[in-house]
Amino acid sequence: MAYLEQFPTFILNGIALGMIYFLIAIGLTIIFGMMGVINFAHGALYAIGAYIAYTITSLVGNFWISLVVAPIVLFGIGVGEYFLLRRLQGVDPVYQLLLTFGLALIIQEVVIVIWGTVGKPLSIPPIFRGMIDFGLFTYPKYRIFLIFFTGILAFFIWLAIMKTKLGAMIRAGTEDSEMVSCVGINISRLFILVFGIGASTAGIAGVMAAPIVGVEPFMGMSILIISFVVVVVGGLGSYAGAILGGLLIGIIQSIFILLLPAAAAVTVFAFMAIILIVKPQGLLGKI
Amino acid sequence: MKGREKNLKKIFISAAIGLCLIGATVMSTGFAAEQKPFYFLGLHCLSGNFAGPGEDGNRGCFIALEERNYKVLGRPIEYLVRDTELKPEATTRKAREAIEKFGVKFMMAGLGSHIGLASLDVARDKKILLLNHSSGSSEITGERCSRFGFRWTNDNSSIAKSALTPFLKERPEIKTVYCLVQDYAWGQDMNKNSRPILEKMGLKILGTDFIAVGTTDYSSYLLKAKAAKPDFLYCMIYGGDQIIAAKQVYEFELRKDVKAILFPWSGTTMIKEIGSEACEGVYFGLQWWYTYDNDYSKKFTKKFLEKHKVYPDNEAIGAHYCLKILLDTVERLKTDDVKTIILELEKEKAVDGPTGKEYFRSWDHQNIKQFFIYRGKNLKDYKFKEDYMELATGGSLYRTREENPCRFKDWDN
Repeated sequence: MAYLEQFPTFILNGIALGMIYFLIAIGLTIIFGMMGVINFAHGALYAIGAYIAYTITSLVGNFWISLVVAPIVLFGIGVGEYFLLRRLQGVDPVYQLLLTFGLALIIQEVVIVIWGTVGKPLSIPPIFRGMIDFGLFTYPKYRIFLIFFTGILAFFIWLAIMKTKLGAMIRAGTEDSEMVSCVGINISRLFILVFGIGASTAGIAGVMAAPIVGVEPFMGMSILIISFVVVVVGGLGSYAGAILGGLLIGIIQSIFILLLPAAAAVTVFAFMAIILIVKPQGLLGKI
Repeated sequence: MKGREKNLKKIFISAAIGLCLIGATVMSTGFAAEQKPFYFLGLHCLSGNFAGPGEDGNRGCFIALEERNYKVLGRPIEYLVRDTELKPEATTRKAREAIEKFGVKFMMAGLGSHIGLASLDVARDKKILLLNHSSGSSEITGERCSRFGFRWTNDNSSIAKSALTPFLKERPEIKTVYCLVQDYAWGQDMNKNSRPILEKMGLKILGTDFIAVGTTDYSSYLLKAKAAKPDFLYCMIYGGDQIIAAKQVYEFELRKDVKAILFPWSGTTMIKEIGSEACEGVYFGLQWWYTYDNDYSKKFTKKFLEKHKVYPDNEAIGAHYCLKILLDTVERLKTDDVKTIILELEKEKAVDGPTGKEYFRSWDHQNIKQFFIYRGKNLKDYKFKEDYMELATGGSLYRTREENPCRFKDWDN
């Protein structure tokens, strides 16, 4: 019963977890929604973001610069990945899956060649070390910052998608890319932009997560699974679904560790299975 | 007369040719025997999450071989390296292939209790000598022991006795404990061996959480542990998961809330990845640490550092010691007969090892050595860049014959 007093902390912790999952999943869902591509290399892009954070912090002693550099670098890599995928347009989607999976493995091995097999230490930036006292409980400053940062980023992405002309084109492309092309919009450039943005958000997620989970070559594979769960629960191609899916998965994971720890590891997958049975397109996905 | 001379000539030439042929055959056989390599198989984890310490084990072997110029009994040593991939099925397959193809009689394995057990099964089946330099499962020199297997590291039962007992005796203010257990063979075995010690020392166990391997966020478990308000947080977590857990212990400032935090088995690679800030004030159980003050350790550390520009892990020195002992024994006895070597190793002759005088026990083939608890130093106390740890306590306690179910059935197991 003493644990129930900790409920607010666990909810807050679930939200923090959920925001990390959202940040990773948003790129995945945007790319799928626009292009119908399930990007298995997404986890590897997240890992590159983490390594950029480590490298820049080691070289110049400033973590925050990596929040600028990582999205730019990952945008470039995302665009490169798009040009590879473009060559497989019109063929069986399995080939695209294989390509992205192959890319994931190549990126992982390149990371090992450059940085080695041993992981790298990366500390939380000094300004966000320590705990905040909320009276009833204390909670790490960095995770509070992470919630706000991701929330603000989510708002600006939503603003861009819902309130700009470019966003309207992206939304239209998600519905019917052929029609968008027919009305004279350069769909190829739109795809490039979407892929680049999707990859950038993965990179930002990697930068933000690195001080908490560490930096090691196999971190991409381990986060990919949970990203897919979030996207499937929220609905493939749905921006709001990615937010809802991330938060739900994070909170469920956190609460079950408190209430039923033996089942915590499988709970999220069980939840995903229930969603797939009840609403196969996801909570906010469209058929 | 002429005919007789001709015959004699023929006989002489035939005999000469025959002698030459015999001589050539004898020489070539002798030459081949002399040059037949001494095969040694190293099963190391060279890919995946444990590739760092796995490569260290491999490097330790190379140093041992270089010290002998790759020769034993006048024969060149052929060192076969195979990647276990941290998978028992890959380990077994690759070990069997090498044994069958090259006639390997001696092999080394470690890093992963499931790898240790898989390779032990191969050694038992093929009747070849296995040196395990780093698996922790008590079964290896316990229920599933084999006359063909030897293990260097302290096993989980020894870690629990050697680490927990002196650690808790020196901290009588610790009355309650919360346990986090990595839910796989090593974690479960470590938990099984630790609980009786915790109870014997009079600690109240406030909670135990089993955590899946590969967990990337420990925050909820740490919050739960924090809510229980234990004096002691006992984290039976290893590998990449230990790095994440230790970093998040630091993030959630658990060091301020509990009197002591202990990870009962760690290593150089893990500690470097955790980082100096997160290590500070936290206790780590170590088979060996590179600042340990004895001749063997100092010499090995110096060589390793000169060659690889990094400090060695216990994997490296354990592998080095095991291979050195084997090759020294082969050379001394002038034989590579497996049973002869085993009988010699069973004589319990203590030799200088990484943690002092060490020897393999005759009745379970467990190496008797020290196990240590080190404490993360404050950065301002570092004497050099990687001076992460200071020695806190240690011990050398093992299961007795009565406590250990290992029973060798002569050469059948």
